[in-house]
Amino acid sequence: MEKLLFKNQNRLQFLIAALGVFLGLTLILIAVQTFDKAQKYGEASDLLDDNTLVVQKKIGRGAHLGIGNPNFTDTQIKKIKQKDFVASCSAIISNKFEVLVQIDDPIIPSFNSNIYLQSVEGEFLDIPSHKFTWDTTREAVPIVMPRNFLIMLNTFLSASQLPRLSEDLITNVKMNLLIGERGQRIVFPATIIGFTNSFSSILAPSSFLNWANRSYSNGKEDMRSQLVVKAKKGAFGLLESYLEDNGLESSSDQLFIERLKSGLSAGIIGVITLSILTLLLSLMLMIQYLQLILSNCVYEIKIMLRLGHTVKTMRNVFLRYFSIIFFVLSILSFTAFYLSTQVIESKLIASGIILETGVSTYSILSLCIVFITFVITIMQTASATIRTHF
Amino acid sequence: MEIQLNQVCPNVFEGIKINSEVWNSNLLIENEGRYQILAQSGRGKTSFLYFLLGLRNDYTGEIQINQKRIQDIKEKEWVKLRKTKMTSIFQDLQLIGHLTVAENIRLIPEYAKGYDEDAIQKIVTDLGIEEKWNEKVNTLSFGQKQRVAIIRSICKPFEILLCDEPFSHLDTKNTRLCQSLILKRLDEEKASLLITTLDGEPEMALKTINL
Repeated sequence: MEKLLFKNQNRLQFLIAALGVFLGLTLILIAVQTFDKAQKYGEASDLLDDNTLVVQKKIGRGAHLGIGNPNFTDTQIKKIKQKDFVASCSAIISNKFEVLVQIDDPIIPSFNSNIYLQSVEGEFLDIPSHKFTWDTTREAVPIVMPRNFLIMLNTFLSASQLPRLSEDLITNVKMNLLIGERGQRIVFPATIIGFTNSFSSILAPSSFLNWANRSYSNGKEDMRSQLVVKAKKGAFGLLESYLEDNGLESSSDQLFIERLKSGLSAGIIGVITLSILTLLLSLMLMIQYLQLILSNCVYEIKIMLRLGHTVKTMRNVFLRYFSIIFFVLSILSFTAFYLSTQVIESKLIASGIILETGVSTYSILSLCIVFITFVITIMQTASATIRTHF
Repeated sequence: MEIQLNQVCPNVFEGIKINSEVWNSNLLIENEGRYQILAQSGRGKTSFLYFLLGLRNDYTGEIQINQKRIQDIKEKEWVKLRKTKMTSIFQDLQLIGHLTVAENIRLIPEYAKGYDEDAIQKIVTDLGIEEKWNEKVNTLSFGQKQRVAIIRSICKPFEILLCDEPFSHLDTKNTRLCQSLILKRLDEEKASLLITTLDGEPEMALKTINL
């Protein structure tokens, strides 16, 4: 029956349509995967929920001249706590001593850097309280690492032509906190128990920071330049307006990744739209190609129907032919998509950004949806056209 | 198979007075009946067969196949009718030129009982076109094509055979051969025959209906 129905074909039209399907499908797979991974980036392991913000005062030129205090007073904190839309509010404790983080692990070169430690009340963090606590009998201090720090560390490793560290891997790296003045530093082994986009400093349990502030203070006064504020459910907008009206802002670190993600998402949505349009155009071309084949064998179709063949039998010939074409195109697109994502991910890794590895479920889902849509459209078009000759 | 025509008239004859036993009349094609539709050109012989096969509906009146109105017959039922109950030899033969004789015959969705490809090849030999079995139909004469069309139509199961001037391009010898083959198959299938002809087929002993 194939010989009968596929006697005249316009190869050029078929090639253009196939190229369109290939490009559209490849683009849509890449875009969906990137969109999904960008959305998930840092989400799974973030410790603050969507209703919680790290808040600070907007710093103007006056601050450099000593006008306007960046610290929050007890009255200011109390005033925020009393707002209807605020569920809870607490000052972030900072270290009052010199502290260095030191990586002491054979798998990566020795690395140390001056850092800041901060601590917030446990109620704001999504970590079981027994994991994020400390007392003098504990061997290691549990810490939460800012994701920016990991990006910086990976940039350093990349420059040294060393393999980059994923979030999973770095949690197993041996790390120390060196506390105190040069020459009198005391080593505290540290264990990373999570990551955050919300803080630019390393988070330590308040029990540790309070103890260390008492034991190793260099005489600096208490700094309360940042607050952590949790809005009541559904009242996040009110909190944001309040911050805007009162000269307060979210921590720029907290917003940076979100802005990056939303900017990237907008671009990717554009690419997805473009790919869908390309796919629709290719589908139209494929339908035209099918109709051309069908119009070239109207006589044969009529004879077959008059001899007692069913519309379904003949439709299945076209369905089989186009399903094989779509299957081959899907395999080619998937291969191109996989290779492209490997290149994109290696570029991101080189920039210190380690995304989730593997193929996104949504990409597989998109592939299936496009395949099924194409097959159903071809099936319906072939059936309808053949039926007109019944 | 029984076919009943009630006041059927092609749209093109609407308003024209016609003296016919088919058009604007009531006609019953009986089960196992054998008929010849006798008429000159332009009287609607081909249209009549197309109406019965459900391929055209540009007429008034009503046609019933086994007591069911043609308009009420669903696609699935038509498939069954065309596959195992109705078979036809069209005036334009409806063969596919770029396929061979064998391939054209293999287009039949279901062979009649006792008619496998070997049996069909024997019929092809009896009708004198055995050397054309693997030749493309395009290369055959009209008379040879007519024999291929006859073979294709009778090698499937059927309850009625509808023929539109099937022997028009055959010589006397081949006409006799084809007629006896058709009659043999009618007996085997206990089927009806409806054949349109210009001058009649006296050798087949058919009831005549004037169109």
